[in-house]
Amino acid sequence: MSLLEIEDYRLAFDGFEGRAHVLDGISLSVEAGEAVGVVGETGCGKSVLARSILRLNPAPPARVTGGAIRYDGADVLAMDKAALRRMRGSDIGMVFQDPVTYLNPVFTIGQQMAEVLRAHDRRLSRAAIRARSVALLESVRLPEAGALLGRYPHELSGGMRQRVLIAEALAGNPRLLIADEPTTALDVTIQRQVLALIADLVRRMGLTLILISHDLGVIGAICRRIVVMYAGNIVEDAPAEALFGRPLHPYTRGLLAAIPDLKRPDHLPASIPGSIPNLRQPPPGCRFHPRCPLAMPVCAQVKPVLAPAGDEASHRVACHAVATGTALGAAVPRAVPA
Amino acid sequence: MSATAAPGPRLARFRAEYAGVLRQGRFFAWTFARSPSALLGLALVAAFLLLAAIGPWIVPYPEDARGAVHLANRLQPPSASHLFGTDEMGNDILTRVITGTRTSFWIGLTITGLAALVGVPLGIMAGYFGGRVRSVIMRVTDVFLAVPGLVLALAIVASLGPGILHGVLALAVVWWPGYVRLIEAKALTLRSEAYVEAARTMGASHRWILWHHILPNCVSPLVVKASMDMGMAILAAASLGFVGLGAKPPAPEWGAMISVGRTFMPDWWWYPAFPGLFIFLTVLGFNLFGDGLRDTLDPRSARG
Amino acid sequence: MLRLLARRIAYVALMLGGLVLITFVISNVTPADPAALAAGPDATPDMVATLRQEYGLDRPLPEQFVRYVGDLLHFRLGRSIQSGNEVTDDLARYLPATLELVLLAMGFACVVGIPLGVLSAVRRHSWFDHAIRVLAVSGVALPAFWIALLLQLVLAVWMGWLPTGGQLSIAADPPPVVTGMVLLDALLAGEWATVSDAAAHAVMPAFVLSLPCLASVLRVNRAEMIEVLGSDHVTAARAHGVAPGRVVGLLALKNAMLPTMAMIGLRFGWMLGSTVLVETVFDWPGLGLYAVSSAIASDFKPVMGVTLCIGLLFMLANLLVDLAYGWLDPRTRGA
Repeated sequence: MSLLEIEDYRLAFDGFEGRAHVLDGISLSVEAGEAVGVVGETGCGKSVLARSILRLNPAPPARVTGGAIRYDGADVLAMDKAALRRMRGSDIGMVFQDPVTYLNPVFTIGQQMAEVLRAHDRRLSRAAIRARSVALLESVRLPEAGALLGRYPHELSGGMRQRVLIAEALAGNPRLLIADEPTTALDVTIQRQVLALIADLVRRMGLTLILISHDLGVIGAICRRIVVMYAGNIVEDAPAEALFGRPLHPYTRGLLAAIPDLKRPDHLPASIPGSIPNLRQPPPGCRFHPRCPLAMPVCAQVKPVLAPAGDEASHRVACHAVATGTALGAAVPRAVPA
Repeated sequence: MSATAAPGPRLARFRAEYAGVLRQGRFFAWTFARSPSALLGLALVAAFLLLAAIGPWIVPYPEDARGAVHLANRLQPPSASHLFGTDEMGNDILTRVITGTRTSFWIGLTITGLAALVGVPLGIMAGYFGGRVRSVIMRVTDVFLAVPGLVLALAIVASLGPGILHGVLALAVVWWPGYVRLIEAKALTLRSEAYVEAARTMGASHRWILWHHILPNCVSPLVVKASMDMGMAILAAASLGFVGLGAKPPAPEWGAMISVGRTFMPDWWWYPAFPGLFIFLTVLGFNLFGDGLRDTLDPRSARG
Repeated sequence: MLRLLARRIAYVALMLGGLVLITFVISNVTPADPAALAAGPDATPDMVATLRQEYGLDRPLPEQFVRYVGDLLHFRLGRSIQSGNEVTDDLARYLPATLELVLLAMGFACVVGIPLGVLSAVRRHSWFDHAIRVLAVSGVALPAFWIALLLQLVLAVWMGWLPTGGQLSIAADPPPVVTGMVLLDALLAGEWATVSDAAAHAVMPAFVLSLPCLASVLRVNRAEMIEVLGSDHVTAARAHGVAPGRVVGLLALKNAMLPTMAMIGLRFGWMLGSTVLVETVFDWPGLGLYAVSSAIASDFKPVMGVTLCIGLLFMLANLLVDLAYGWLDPRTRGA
């Protein structure tokens, strides 16, 4: 049994000008111990998906329109509030993107950590809470952890704040860690440190990791398996080497072709023409077909299903062109000479 | 395209030139109309303005507005012929309350107008020029704001002597600091906007910038504040009247009416009750309307 | 923090100075002749001239101002024509009553307003929320004197549940003076009958006085709570499994309290002003009633004294709010 199973999950947001279908049938299984990266451009729904696992999307605008999410066999969508709260932090921990806004500005680090620790075990004494807080801060390589407890978030640097967020996520000893763009708001040099820290923690604590980013470099550094999302759908799901070496979905190929090549400084990277669709009126069939160089008539009518490509069960693609074997490699944008 | 009455070329030109403004106006109207409380406010304010405008011509007993005397009819309870009853002089209270609408309108308009006339230029100067000018203006403003308004107004009226004019003047003195504060904050943020800097580097004079950039952008918070202040100013003036320092009877001012009516409580309770109801509805209307304006002109999610 | 305090106190002193100047200007724009008023209607012109000289009213204005400030520094605020007492004595007598009323009203507004605001934000769009919003809007628009009269009519005259006015029943013995606040003194002395009597008298005036503040606190607290509850750090706390009660009641509320406190400070000023109206209706022997009766009799000195006194009170209250703000929000402490 997989640790996390998402089955045809659909989510919509009821907004000002209609209903936006943000997640359109997501199916994903994560085994214990895996390190999965979810990559996609802004607006593809990856953060919404991450929050859906913990049911953190605010309920009135957000509405589950289908599918299921199961953690360790238990139905997350049907859980009562108490069970959900127990799961949060103790089974699944979440690290967020921007440490400035995700830490409470009017409480000290120590007070916030104490709240999180108390949430998991109400009987902890103050001494025990303090000891555990210091231990957690040290495990994320923060120096002078004791003194740090008395500081306020605005007194810390960005990198330090992000480490605190990581420490809070791990406070309940979760088995699964979801990191939603943990390095996006940081300077490049700090990014590498934080990524290395996450990788180290995952290895040492035997965590299962879901890392979300729009940055392929960040994903590629840690994750063994990569899932590519576009406009609320998973379009490709493959082991990292397979994805980088033999990308199949036209969108993935477009993404990779858009990476500038340092060895060929004169060549401009290609870009994918068009823009992401309006989720209130998504294109029929495959949501990528208006921008796809391989689009066939069936693409505008029938939505492609995520299925293994060829004989490799671990490499799944949702594309009619790939499924029918047409044009593997032809007419895909390559780096254009300047 | 309907062929009945084709708009003239002038109308078409007007529409084209001001297309952006018209569209924005329609958007504002649509946003405003989405809030039931804002619509209620608009209805109340419209009723108030209507009564202020045509009141004296539709009242049932016009001669009572100026205080006629019908002692035989004094202190009658509400009835079909006198919906709000009669006062101690036999005057129809409904008539006097409606007439009082016009009085209140003038009071509110004068107070708010004077306060804005003084406060807005000072605020713009303080916010735009900064430095010592700003220090001096803001300190003086702070001193005025350090005393609760009604108390200061009371002191001024006590000194000048009772009367509606003195009350209005006193309240205008109390009100102008609020405008300075509001406009100063706005002008301060405007000053550092990119387009203002751009205008300066292109050699625009201060006066030009103030007139074309700063002032127009101050209009929306000003309008919001002025609408809410209309109601509050009327309430404050009525409060002074209630205490005996505002309008003098037989002037049909709501506060003064309640003040006199109070002496006839509890037996003839309807006398102060109805003018007070009108004050409440008027202030409520302006408050709801101002709130609705604020949500329309400066929408933020949590205000709903 | 101490530096913050020192700076704020200096600022209050400056404001007070400005207020003194303003009261001086106001006293001198009067068309009436203060000497003639003080002398009374039967005075001869000679007596009025003598009085004028005694008061220094024939000296140039700047000199008068210096004299005025000097008097103030010695706590000499003049004499009330109406009561015949020194204004400072009158102020000392009436201040506790006003303070008692204001504290009761403010306490009520906060104790009721803050939790209701929180509840309204948590149960957004429910009928409860709508009812609260209606209350919040009407509370500010209600003319205090009107609702006071109506309550007095219904609860005191028609129902007879509460007394019509005053601080204590005429027959009652006031408790031994400790603070001057009747309710508190009675509590301290353990005179339960007096406590219940004082409380019954205080209910209506305190309630009417609290309404605009209650309405404002409701509005601001609700709006701020809604905003904070949608913020990222609240989502993070929820994601970490913190109990909803603590998320709302502690983590979110502390953030929302900052603007609420600022509103409370502002409303305190309005409340002080409204005492003029409420004390008049309920015959409450406080500064407001004193000011009104003096103003009507053109008795200036008490009115100026009350203005200075209430102004000082308001400044001190704002000082407290500033300090509380600094304590609640660690980001402002560095400034």
